[in-house]
Amino acid sequence: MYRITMITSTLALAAAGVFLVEFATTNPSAVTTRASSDLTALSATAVAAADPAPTMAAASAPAPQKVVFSKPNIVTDDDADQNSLRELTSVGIDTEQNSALAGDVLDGLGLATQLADADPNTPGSRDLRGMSAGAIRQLGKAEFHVEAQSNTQMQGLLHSLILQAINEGRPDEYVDSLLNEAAEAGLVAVPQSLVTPEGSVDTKTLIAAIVDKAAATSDGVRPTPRPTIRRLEKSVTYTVKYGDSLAAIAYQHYGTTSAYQWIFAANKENLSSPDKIQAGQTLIIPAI
Amino acid sequence: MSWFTCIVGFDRQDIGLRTARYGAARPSANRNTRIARGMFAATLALFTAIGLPTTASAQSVRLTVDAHDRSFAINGNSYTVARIQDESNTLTGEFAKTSRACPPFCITPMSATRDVETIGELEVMDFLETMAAKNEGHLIDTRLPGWFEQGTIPGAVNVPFTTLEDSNPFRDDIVAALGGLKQGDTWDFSAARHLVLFCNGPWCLQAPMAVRALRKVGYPAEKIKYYRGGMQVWHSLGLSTVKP
Repeated sequence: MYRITMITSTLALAAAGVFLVEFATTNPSAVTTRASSDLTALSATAVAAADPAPTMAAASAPAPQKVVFSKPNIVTDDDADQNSLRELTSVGIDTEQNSALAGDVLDGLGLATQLADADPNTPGSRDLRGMSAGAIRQLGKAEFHVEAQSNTQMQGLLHSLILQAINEGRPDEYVDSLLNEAAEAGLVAVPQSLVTPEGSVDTKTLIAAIVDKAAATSDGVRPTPRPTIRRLEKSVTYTVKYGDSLAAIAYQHYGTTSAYQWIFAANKENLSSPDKIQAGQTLIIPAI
Repeated sequence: MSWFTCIVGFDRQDIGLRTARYGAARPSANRNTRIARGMFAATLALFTAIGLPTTASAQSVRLTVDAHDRSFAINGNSYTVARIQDESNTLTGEFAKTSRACPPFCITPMSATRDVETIGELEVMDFLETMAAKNEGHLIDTRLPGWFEQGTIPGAVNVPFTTLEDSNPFRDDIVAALGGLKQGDTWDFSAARHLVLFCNGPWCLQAPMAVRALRKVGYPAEKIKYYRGGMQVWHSLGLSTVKP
C-alpha cells in the first residue's frame, strides 16, 4: 500500500514537471531504468503521455548534459484547494479497488446503460469499443462484429480517465477540467444525470460520490454499512440552480447520486432527458 | 491548455488552411505586352536551360523538382497529394501555435523505439503509392477520432493509440485486422501488413506510444515506420489533407 502511495506521489510530481532530470554523461542507464519502471505500467492508458522520462530514454541521440524542466503553467498540486481524490491514495485503496469503485459510481449514474444503448458504429461513440470497431472496419475487416461486453468493459474512456486521476493523486480541479474538456469534444460518454444547466459536467458530485464510496470500503475492514440512501418522508419541490446536476440534487436529498432516476421519473412531464435541466426550473423531489 | 487536450489530442478549432489558389505566378494580362513577352521569353529560356517544365501556367509550388503532385488509389478511393499553390498562404489556428505547454506537449525524440525507423513526407508518399496501394500496408493516424475527422493525410486509416494498449479488450482484434495471426499465446506476424504511424507531429506522443504498444505485442520492427513530422509538418508544407 505504501508503495502505491509513493509511486502515485512520484507520478504527480513528475507530471507536474517540478523535477529535474540530470543526464550525467556517465549515467545513461539510470534514465532507462526509470522509464521501464512502474511509471509506464501504472499509466498505461491515455494520460501516460504526460511523463517525459520514457521519451527521453528512447532517444538514440547523445543526451544533453543537463535538462531542466521548468514548471509549466498548469494546475499543480500546490495550487489546489480541494484534494479529495488525492486522499483516496492515502487511505490505502489500491488500483484495483479504485477501478471498481469508480466503475460502481459510474454504473449508479447510468453510464453503463447509456453506453449499452449506444451503437458502436455511430461516429459519436468514442469508447474503446466504438473506436476499435471503427479501426477494424477501416482496416478492411468488415466482418468484425463487436460482441456485447460486460459493464466494466463498456465504461470506456471516462472510467479510465477518472481512475488515472485517482491513481496519480490529481487535485479535483484537474479532474474537473479534464472531464469537461473531454465531454465538450464528445470524446467521453458522460452520464446525463451529471450535466448541469450550463452543459458542463458536475464533477464535484462525481468526486463526492467516489470519495464517499471509498470511505465505505477503505482499510480492508468494512465499517458498519452506512445508510447511504436517506428516506424522504414527504415529497418536496426544488428550484434548479446554476451548477446543479440531477445527480447532485439526488445526492443532496437522498444521499446517493443514483437516486437521480427517481427525480427524473417524477418529473418526466417537464424533463425530456436527465441532462436537460434548466436553472430556475422547479422539480418535484418525490417521497421515497 | 489542459493536459487532456494534448494527450487525447482533440480540439474543435479548424486548422484554417485555405484552399489552393492557382495562378498567383501568372503575369498580369494588363502589362505592357512587350515587356511581358520579353520576360516570358527570358523565363522560358532559363527554364529550358535548367530542364524545368516550360508551360506558361506551370505551378510554382511543387513537391519536389521532378514532381508537382502524386496520385494513388487505396481501397478504391483515388487521392492526389499536392501543395497549396498560394505562395503567401500561412497557417492559422491549431497548427500555427508555437508554445503548447510541456508537459504534456513535449518535443519527441527522433526515434519512437531503438529499432523502428523514422521517415519523412516523401517516404510517406512512397509508402502510399507502393505498400498501401497494393493493400500490403496501412498509413495509420493514431490520433483520436475527433482529430482524424477534422483532416488527415490522404489514404490514412484511424487506429487511435488507445486502442493498441493492453487495456483495450479489443486490442487483439485490431492486431488480427493488421494481419497478425494469434497462435495460442504468441503471434505470427509473417503475413502482417507494413505500417506507417503518425499523429500531430513532433509535439505529439500518441504515435510513439502506438509504436511501442505494437512492439510490445511483438509486431516486427521492420514492418513499422514512424512519421515524426505528422500533421504539424504536413500542414506546414501545405500538403493536401482529406476529411474522411
